[in-house]
Amino acid sequence: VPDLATTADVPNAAHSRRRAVAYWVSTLILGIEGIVGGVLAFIRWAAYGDILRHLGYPAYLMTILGVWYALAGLALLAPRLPRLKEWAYAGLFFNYTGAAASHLVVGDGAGALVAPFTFTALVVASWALRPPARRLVGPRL
Amino acid sequence: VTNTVAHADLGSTASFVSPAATSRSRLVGYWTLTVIVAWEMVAGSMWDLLRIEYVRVVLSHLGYPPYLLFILGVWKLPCALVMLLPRFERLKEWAYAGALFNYSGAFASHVLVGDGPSAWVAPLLFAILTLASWALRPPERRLRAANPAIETRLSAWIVPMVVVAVMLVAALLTLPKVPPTF
Repeated sequence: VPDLATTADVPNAAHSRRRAVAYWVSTLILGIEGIVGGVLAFIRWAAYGDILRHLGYPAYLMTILGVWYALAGLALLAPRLPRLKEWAYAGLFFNYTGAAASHLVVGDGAGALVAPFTFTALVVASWALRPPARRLVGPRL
Repeated sequence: VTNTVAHADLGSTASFVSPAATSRSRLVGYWTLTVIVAWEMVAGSMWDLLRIEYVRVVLSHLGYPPYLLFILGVWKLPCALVMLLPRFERLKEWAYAGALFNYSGAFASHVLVGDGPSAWVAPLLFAILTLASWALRPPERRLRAANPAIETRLSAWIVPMVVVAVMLVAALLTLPKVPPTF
């Protein structure tokens, strides 16, 4: 008797492997960007300051963003902490969509929008693909 | 004997540590704080989207660009609505996260530009109210719900929407006429 269940599991296994790879790639990029970017912002890295000045934000915003950024990166990379991860995803989503909106409002071209849109997509992808151990039980929204 | 038992029951119901009384006062506390925060969010949304002088002066004092009012105003209204509506337990986490970032960001900004307590005590207070509302939210409004009962009563959905609508009107009627002084 052919083991139908095992046969049917093969594409599922490949699918869940691809899903795990996509989750970890997007999450590692976000986590590292958060921690490195957060530290660079906190120490008021000049290149980051130039972007904020161009968008019209005060330099001290780098201190506020830097702290939250690094915490978000740590929360995404750490095991478990599913509720904290929701907050980290929320913060990163507000941050990147806010950056995209700011670039749009000051009249920057498409080139300036690539990074915030890409990172917004990475946030959504990482959030949607997070494995059961890293998410709270409950409705999707 | 019957009287004694009945009396003892009444006493335990009214006692300070009664779970029923605790959960009732907890619920009253939750709704009081949540309505206060939601009200601030709805009024703030109005002030921001209408770009009234008050918030323009605050933003320019803190050094933020005026267009930030548009970004903040657009997020604040769904934040209030999600806090008041039933269910949407995961979106509620996002709404609380956004509210905390908003209030703590305002507090930090006032501190970093060197303002005194009169400028930063209000955002600090609202950050604390936000966390308290979050901590007190009842089981059916938080993820990993112990009670999976789903809210299907129409009134539970209509009332929050009406409350937000009333808050919007009230916000319009109570717009500050003069900018703040620092």
